[in-house]
Parts: sequence; C-alpha cells; structure tokens
Amino acid sequence: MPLRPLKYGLSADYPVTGDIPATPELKSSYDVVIVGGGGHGLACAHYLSKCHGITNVAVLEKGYLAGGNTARNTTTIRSNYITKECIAFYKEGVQLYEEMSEELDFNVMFSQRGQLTLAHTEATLRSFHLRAEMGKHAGTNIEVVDAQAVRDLSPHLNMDEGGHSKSWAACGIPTAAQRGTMRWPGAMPRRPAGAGWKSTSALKSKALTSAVPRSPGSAPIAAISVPDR
Amino acid sequence: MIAVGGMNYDKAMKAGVELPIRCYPLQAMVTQPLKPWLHTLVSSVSLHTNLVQSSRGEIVIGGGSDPYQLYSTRSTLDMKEHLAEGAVHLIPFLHGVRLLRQWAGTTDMTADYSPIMGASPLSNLWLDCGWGTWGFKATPVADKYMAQTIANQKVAPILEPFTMERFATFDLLNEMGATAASH
Repeated sequence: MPLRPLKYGLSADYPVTGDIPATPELKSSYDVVIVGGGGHGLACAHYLSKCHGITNVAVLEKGYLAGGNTARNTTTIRSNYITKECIAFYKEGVQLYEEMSEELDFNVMFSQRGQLTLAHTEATLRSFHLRAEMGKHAGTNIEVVDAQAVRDLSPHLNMDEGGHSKSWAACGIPTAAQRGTMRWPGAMPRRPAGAGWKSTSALKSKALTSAVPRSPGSAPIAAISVPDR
Repeated sequence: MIAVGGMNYDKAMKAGVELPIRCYPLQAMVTQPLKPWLHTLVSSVSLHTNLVQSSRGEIVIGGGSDPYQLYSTRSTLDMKEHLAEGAVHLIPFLHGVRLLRQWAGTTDMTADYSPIMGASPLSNLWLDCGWGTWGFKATPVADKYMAQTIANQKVAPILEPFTMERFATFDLLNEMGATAASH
C-alpha cells in the first residue's frame, strides 16, 4: 500500500505526540537524581522505590523514555560469558527477566528459546569448549553440540557449504531468551527427539508456569549445539 | 547516577570525570514479517552475524560494531551488505526476503567489553556506564544493584569487579567475543 505513508503523513494524527509526560516543575532537591531515562535509569528508580523506600527521585531525560537501546536492541538475553564475575552477574540478569512480567504485572513478551552460536573453524570450536566449561563451572547452561544436533534444532541452517564458513559445531545456551513472544497458535518450539531439546522444553514450561525463581544450579542442563568434529 | 548510554563519556566529562570509553555505532536491521520458523537464536562468530525471529515474525539481523568511532546514527550500505551476506549464508532462503528497516545506535565501549558500575572519583556521583553493545540483557540486574549501591552508599559486592579502577590496576574482565563479535 504505497500511498499509506503519504496518507498518514497528511492526517491529523501526524506527527505523533507520543507518551511523553509533561515535564513537571522540578523541586530544589531530590534524594537521588538519575541522568538518563533509558532502561537502566528507569530500572534504578524502580528498585530504589521498591527495595529501598527511596521515592524522592528525579529521572532526567533529554529525549523520550527508553528511546535508546531499550527500543531498538536485538533482544538477546543470555549469560554465556567467560569470567566468573560476569557469568554470575548476567545469570541473575536472566533470572530477573524470567520474573519480570510477574513482578511488573505486565507482559514483557519474554520467551526462552535457546541460542546457537556457530563455530566454523577448529579454533572457534576450541574457544567454545573453554567457554562451555567455564559456564558450566559457574552454574549456567551451556553445552557444545555437534553439527547433527544443530541440524535437528534448526533445520533451516545452511550446514553443508564448504569453504571457510562451513558450520562445524555450535555452542548452545538453552536458557538464552528473547524478549518477544510467539502469538501464533502452535508456534511454540517443536520438540524433536533429543534429550537436550527435551530439557530445553522442560525449562521453558517451568519458566512459564512457575513464579518461583529457580535457585542457582537447579536449572536443567540441556544442550543445544553441535558440530561434527 | 549517570546512565545515558552512548553519551556517557560526554556527560561524565561535564563533571570532570574522564571515562575509559570510546563510542562506536552498532547497526541492525529487520526483514519483512514471515511465518514463525526460526525457533532459536542463531549467531556466528566468524560471520559476525546473529539472527532471531521477532514476535511479529520479522527476522532481526545484528552483528558487530562499526569499525570506527562515530556519534552519527546513520545506517550504512556497507553494514547492510555485510549483514545480508551473513544472513543469506546461514539461511539461504532468506535471499528473496525484503528488508524493512535498518538502524544504528551509539554504543559506549570499554577496552574489556564489560561495563563500568559503581563509584566515580567524585563523591555521590555513581556510574552505570560502558554498556557498549550488551546493556539490554543486564537492565534489571545492573540497576537492582545500582539502587542498592546508592541506597547504602556502598558498592554492592557483585558490582565490585566492574569498578572503573580496574583499568588502572589491570584487573580487566575480558569478555570480547562472547558471541557474534561484540554484543
């Protein structure tokens, strides 16, 4: 419908005024002033009031709320880092996302689908083994899987082409998630036979049906990934 | 607390604090909506490409940062070609799919691909910076503990490794290459 943008541009609804609240009269002082009304700044204000009783807070924003990465990221939520400090930190980040819809009583469209990171060379595969071992040591879900498992999990992937970028293996993170949900009936991940994927499905249903946070270490171990060595 | 994403360096400089941050553009794009078929997130380190299907059915394609410092958020043909090449290589039938949008944002990168959180050289000025290309996933956890830090006027233990001081003491948290290049 090529004329639609033109029609919209000429309509009374344009330009959109948006949901930007009017700037209130600023007080002479606040307990906390947060510069930046993006996801991080707003989350800080939320936790200050929720966990610490600090409600005299100003959040200053030049543009519109959550107008940076929060509005335009590629929605990957994962904990496959390599230093134990970072793994612990991002692992809790994943857990907080799992509980977020419940906490805010608002559907943030979070769905856990697993992530495949593909290795195309032996060198990358070696680094994946290191990453997977570090991740397992620190209690997060990550496995190195072979090419057949990748084909099973994501049959659309081009695994057969030769040359420098043939996919050898993959590093899978069953708990990696995306903020976004599937709205179509029957669109939940299929369950190919395979122990790893069953575990992933179990994790998914658990995350969706239980409000009880999973304790560290209780996460199902599943693997997604894989390459033929 | 300073938490202004790509403008963190400039904002902190106004307070006289020079952050060890350089800003690079990061681009991404989406295709037209398709029926749901890509059920996992897929990324490739070698191709610097990651793919995910959104709830609207669009294939979201991302990759590494642009290779130069810049504050402009214009998207470029170079990156469009690069991301399209990676996507089509991984999933050949995407070759006939149309692109809907491409966009860019400014990312405040640190040398060790990890954020800077906690105290600054100034009292009562707290930092939640250096989130580069990996800040979205940490939004709740970072600020749960930043709120605790500000309320108690003491850096939460889980945030201590992310201090700005680590760049002076070489206690870096090297996380480069956690997935498809930076991200």
